[in-house]
Amino acid sequence: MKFKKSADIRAYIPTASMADIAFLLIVMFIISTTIAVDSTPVSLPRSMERTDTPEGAAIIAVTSDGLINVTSGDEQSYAIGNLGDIFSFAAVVLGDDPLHSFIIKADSNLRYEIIDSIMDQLRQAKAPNVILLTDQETIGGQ
Amino acid sequence: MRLQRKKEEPEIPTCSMADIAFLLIVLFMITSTFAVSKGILFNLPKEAPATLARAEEAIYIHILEDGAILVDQKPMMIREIQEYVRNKVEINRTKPVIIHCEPNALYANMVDVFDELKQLEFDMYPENRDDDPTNDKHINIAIPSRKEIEAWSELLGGVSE
Repeated sequence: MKFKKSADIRAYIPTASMADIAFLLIVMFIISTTIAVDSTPVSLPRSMERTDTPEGAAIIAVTSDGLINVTSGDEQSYAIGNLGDIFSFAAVVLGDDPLHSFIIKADSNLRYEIIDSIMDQLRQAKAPNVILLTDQETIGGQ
Repeated sequence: MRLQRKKEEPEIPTCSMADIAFLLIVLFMITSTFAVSKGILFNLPKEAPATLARAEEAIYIHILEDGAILVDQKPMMIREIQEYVRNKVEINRTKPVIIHCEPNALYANMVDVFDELKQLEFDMYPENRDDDPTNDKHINIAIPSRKEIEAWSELLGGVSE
């Protein structure tokens, strides 16, 4: 008995769905990422207990040299000349939204005096809360 | 004579769509960062002197310039703070805890102490871990500013010294 010769099947890799997968990945990136509005290089203190920062919060970044950058969360951060200007910055931000959150992104080696001054000015400007930005503390110390 | 026309199938070329999509992915990966920034939340008091008025009832944590910690005037290691505060706060849940950090101490020292108290709060109020916003119990932590400490010292005759 003679078997019927099977028809030739051309070998190929199906790529029709590749665009769908790629666009799915794009959507995932759009949802899960935010454009960094502040890229001030600081060595953050470490903590075990950490909560998520709210999206669009204002950032006050202080480097170990005492340079201060601020952003309301909507625009790229810019430098301010002296510590006393934080009150007016906070007042402007809270004028638009009285419940706006603030993030202090300060270097761990700074003297507490500077943080105290920032928190005092935020308190005077009637900021509802502040988040002290930290890195994850690993078990067993640094 | 009638010429026979070859019939062409209408189609949209989609071969390059995957290339464009992957190009966009790379662009997003380069220009953006993951939203993973985290920190310790501190609710700023609306009326600052309220906590200080009851300072003698509070647990008083004093961070010195060299990083040494005094809790109610007794020297203590950072790991001992949680147990000490827990024993006091479990008796009276509204008991304020005051963190007084010396101006020349490091910011990291203050964060370490604050972190210990926040960990204790996390242990004491496990219901806060649910996303229900009505579960919002806290240890009463106060971080007075230098101006408030000075005003308080004048009022009570140098307690912070």
